[in-house]
Amino acid sequence: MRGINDLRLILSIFLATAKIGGVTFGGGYAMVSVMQDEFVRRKKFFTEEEFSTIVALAQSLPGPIAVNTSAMAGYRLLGFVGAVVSVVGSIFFPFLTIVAIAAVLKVNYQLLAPFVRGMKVPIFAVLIITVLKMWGKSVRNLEELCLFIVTFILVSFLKLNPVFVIGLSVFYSVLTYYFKPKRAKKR
Amino acid sequence: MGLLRLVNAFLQVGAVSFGGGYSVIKTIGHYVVDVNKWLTLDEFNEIVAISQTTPGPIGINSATYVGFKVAGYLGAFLATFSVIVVPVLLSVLVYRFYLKKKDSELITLMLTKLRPVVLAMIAAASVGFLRTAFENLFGLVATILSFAALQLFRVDTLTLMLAFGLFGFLFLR
Repeated sequence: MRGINDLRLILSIFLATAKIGGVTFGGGYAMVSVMQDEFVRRKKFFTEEEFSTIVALAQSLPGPIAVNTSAMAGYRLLGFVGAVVSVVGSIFFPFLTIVAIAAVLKVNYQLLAPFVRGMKVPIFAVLIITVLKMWGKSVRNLEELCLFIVTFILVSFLKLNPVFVIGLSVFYSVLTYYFKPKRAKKR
Repeated sequence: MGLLRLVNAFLQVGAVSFGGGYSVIKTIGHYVVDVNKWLTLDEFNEIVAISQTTPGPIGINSATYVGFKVAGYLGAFLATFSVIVVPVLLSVLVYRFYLKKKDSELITLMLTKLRPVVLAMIAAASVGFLRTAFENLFGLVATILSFAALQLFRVDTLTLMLAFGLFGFLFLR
């Protein structure tokens, strides 16, 4: 039955995403790391595997990964309403901040610069830890390890477009699905 | 009408904003500076710089700012809404589809392949912060402390980042 529990969940989602969206500088992946902390570890909204799946899907679609992840996480919790609340929460403070700066025109936004510079220092560690946390559910065998390594090389050194790489992986999936008839028919 | 063009431009931006944050900036720049001439290149670059010191995805912030410049509060709202509406709808639809087809072997297969790929992208993104992390003694110590804090002491990522932010505000001027 809808009602007070749903409302509490809505508030909970909004507060969590607003908190995350309001203080996360340093790019989308940092925000995803913080979301993982908040949604998987602290609030236990999802399992590590569910979250990894959401992130994977979020990266494959247009839009900032943080927004897509928010939307899916919200949807998982409370359907379409959850998705909307989650996204609105995520951009709530950023939106207000930008409008405030734009409206007051010559606000010295450079005031925040040292704050942001400081925030960027731990991000390397944050991202590595995030990768380690999601590792168990994302890289379970040699094939997946190879996919990881190849993608890393393609994106880091060859600077390939992420979308292209994702397209390749989808293509690869389809290939392996249709060329392993024994596995497909066994069920 | 100006508002309609604003919505139209950012709907398109949102629909093709694949990949990372900075490729979106290029797209927005194209619509804002080249196509609609709402801002000069210098003004746009300033907006991008501002968006980097504010919380939130840089693409969204740029949209909000441009929207405000073009059409005030309503413009800011419409631009922001337009840029995220396609991504959000797609996200929800795709995720719904996934939830329904979770037992499909092909879908499962695609996802098991997709997860390591995306994880590698996050790892690749971390390389971008390697310099900040290790370029001096402070960075080195900070990084070691961060690892310890996150892994051993179970410190919140958010708390850690805020603490460093505060540190930066106080000492890195």
